[in-house]
Amino acid sequence: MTSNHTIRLYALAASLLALFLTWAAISAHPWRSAAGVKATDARLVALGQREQLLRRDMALVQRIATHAGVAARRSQPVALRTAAAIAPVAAPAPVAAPAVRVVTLPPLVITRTS
Amino acid sequence: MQRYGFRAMGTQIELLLAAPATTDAEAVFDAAQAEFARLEGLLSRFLPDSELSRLNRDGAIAAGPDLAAVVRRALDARERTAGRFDPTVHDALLGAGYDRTFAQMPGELGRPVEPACCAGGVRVDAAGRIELEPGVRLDLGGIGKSYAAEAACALIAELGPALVDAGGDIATRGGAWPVGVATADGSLTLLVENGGLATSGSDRRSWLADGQEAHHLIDPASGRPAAGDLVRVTVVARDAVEAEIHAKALFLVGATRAAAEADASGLPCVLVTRDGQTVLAGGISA
Repeated sequence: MTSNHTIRLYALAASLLALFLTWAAISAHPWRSAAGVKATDARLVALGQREQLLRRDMALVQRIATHAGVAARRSQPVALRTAAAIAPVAAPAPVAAPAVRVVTLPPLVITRTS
Repeated sequence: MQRYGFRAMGTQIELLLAAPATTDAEAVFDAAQAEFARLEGLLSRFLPDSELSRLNRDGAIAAGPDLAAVVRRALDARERTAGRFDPTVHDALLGAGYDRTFAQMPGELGRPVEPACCAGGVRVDAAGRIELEPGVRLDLGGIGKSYAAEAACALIAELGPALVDAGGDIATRGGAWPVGVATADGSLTLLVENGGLATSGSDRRSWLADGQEAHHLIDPASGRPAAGDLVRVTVVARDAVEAEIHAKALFLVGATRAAAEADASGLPCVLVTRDGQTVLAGGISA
C-alpha cells in the first residue's frame, strides 16, 4: 500500500507539472509573429509616423539655418561696401563701449590682472 | 592731480581726482575708502559675517540693496554671456584650491583640482530676497570689486573728473585717462574717456595643484580653471562692472573667438596669448 500511495503522489505531481508547462506554452502564443504584433499595435505605428515627421522637420530647420548663416555672411561685405559708399565718414563709435585709442602718453595707472 | 591709496578687498586701491591741490579732496577720499570697506563687508566670501557669506550659509537672505544689485547684475551677465560669466562658481573655486584669500594660499595645493558643478539656480525677487538652490553658493569676487570701484568713483567725481583703480579694475568719471595695459612684450597706453576697464588673466592669481597649473578663472562648463591660449584679456566697456564681465567671458573662448566677438560687438580689448602675441580688437585705434 505504501508503494502504491507513493506512486500515486508522484503521478499527481507529474500531472500538475505537465499542466503548468502546457499552460505556459499556450500563454506564450508562439504561433504569433513579431511583425504581426507590431502591425496590430496602433500606438507603435503612430509613434513611428511621428518620428518620421519630426526627423523631416529637423532636417528642414537645419537647412534653413545653414542657408541663413551663409546668406548673412555673404551679404555682410556688400552691406559694408554700400554703407561706405553712401557715408564715407568714419563709422560711429560703438554704442556700449567708450571710444578708446592707443596714445604715447605716459600712463597714470596700469590695469593688471585682478 | 590728487591721488590717494589704501588697501581693501585684498588689493591696492588708488583714487585719482583731476582737481587742483587747493581742492579739499580729503572728505571724498575718506568717503570712497569707507565705501570700499562697507561693500567688502557685504560682498566678500572670505568674511564669515558678510551678507554674501550668510546667504551662502543659509541659502536665502533678505538682501540689502547692494548685494541684491550685484547678484542681479551677475545673473543678467550670465544670461548675456550664455553662462560664461557665472556667479555660482563658488564651489568650483574651492575645488580648485581658492578657499582662502589669495595672500594666504600656498604655492602648491598638494592635491589635484576637484571640479564642481556651476550654473546653479538663483532667484532674486523684486523685494531683494535672494534664494539659492540647494548646494549652490555664490562668488562675487571680480564683479564685487568693480562694483565698489564704480561706487567710489561716483563719490569722488563730485569734485571733478575721477578715476578709481581697484587692483586693475578701473572706473572713470569724466576726463580722458591714459591707462597702461601690459602686452606680451611690454605695454601700451590707452586713452579712456568715460568708461571702465578690467583685466582678467591667469598670470597673477595662480598656483599649482598636484603639479598642474591652476588659477581663479573658472570655466563654468567644466567646473575647472579655464584652459586656453590666452594669458590676459583687458576690456574697455561702459563701466568697470561691464568690463569685468566681458573680460572673463572673452578669456574663456580663446584668442581667435575673443577677437571675433570683440570686433562684432565693438568692445575694445587687448588680448595677450600664451605664445607671446598681442591682439588689439573691438575697434581700438592705434
